[in-house]
Amino acid sequence: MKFSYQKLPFAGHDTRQPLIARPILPVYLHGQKSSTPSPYYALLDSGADKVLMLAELAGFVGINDFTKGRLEPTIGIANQRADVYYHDNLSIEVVGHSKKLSTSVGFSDKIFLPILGRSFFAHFKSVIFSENKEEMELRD
Amino acid sequence: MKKSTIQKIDLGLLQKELRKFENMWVAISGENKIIGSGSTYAETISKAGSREDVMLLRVPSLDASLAPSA
Repeated sequence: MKFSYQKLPFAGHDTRQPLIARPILPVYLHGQKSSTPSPYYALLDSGADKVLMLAELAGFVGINDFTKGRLEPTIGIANQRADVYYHDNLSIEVVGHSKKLSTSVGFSDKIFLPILGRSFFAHFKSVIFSENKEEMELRD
Repeated sequence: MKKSTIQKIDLGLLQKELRKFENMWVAISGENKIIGSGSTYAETISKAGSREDVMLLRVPSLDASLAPSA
């Protein structure tokens, strides 16, 4: 299953500056009884250990208080720490892929971008980033 | 939402519009148009109505490269 990178504006508000292509995937987040009503883009991030989502999405999958999950502090690239609360028995569905992929998801109100880390990659035989083609591939 | 609909969404063609929504959510239709925005996913879904062909994007900060790995 191949997806093209999506190009986003970059370098401030100067429209003369180039776009930057990023590996973002359209996904749904599913709980036991409910799901996000519309898909949203999440960054495919080989440097991230796990799946991280904005806290505001937790309510859509039946989690009324995301802080009741398993606390695992997380350190970002600038050594900044964030309290992330993990919940099991959730799943990710990539648009165009028929399977719901079971995963733990960490929620935090410090996260600004949905991230699919390597715990998501583990569902596939391989995950390939083709920078020259600006394309990513998830191989079953 | 079908993959064929997703494939019609090209954020590069929306660059001028997206610059207005830094750090906000936007809802993008299958016709590649921004049809709603908000500070939260829920607010944005609400503004987009009940359409099935809607894709949401949290527009990141536009003045810095991304290195969010955690």
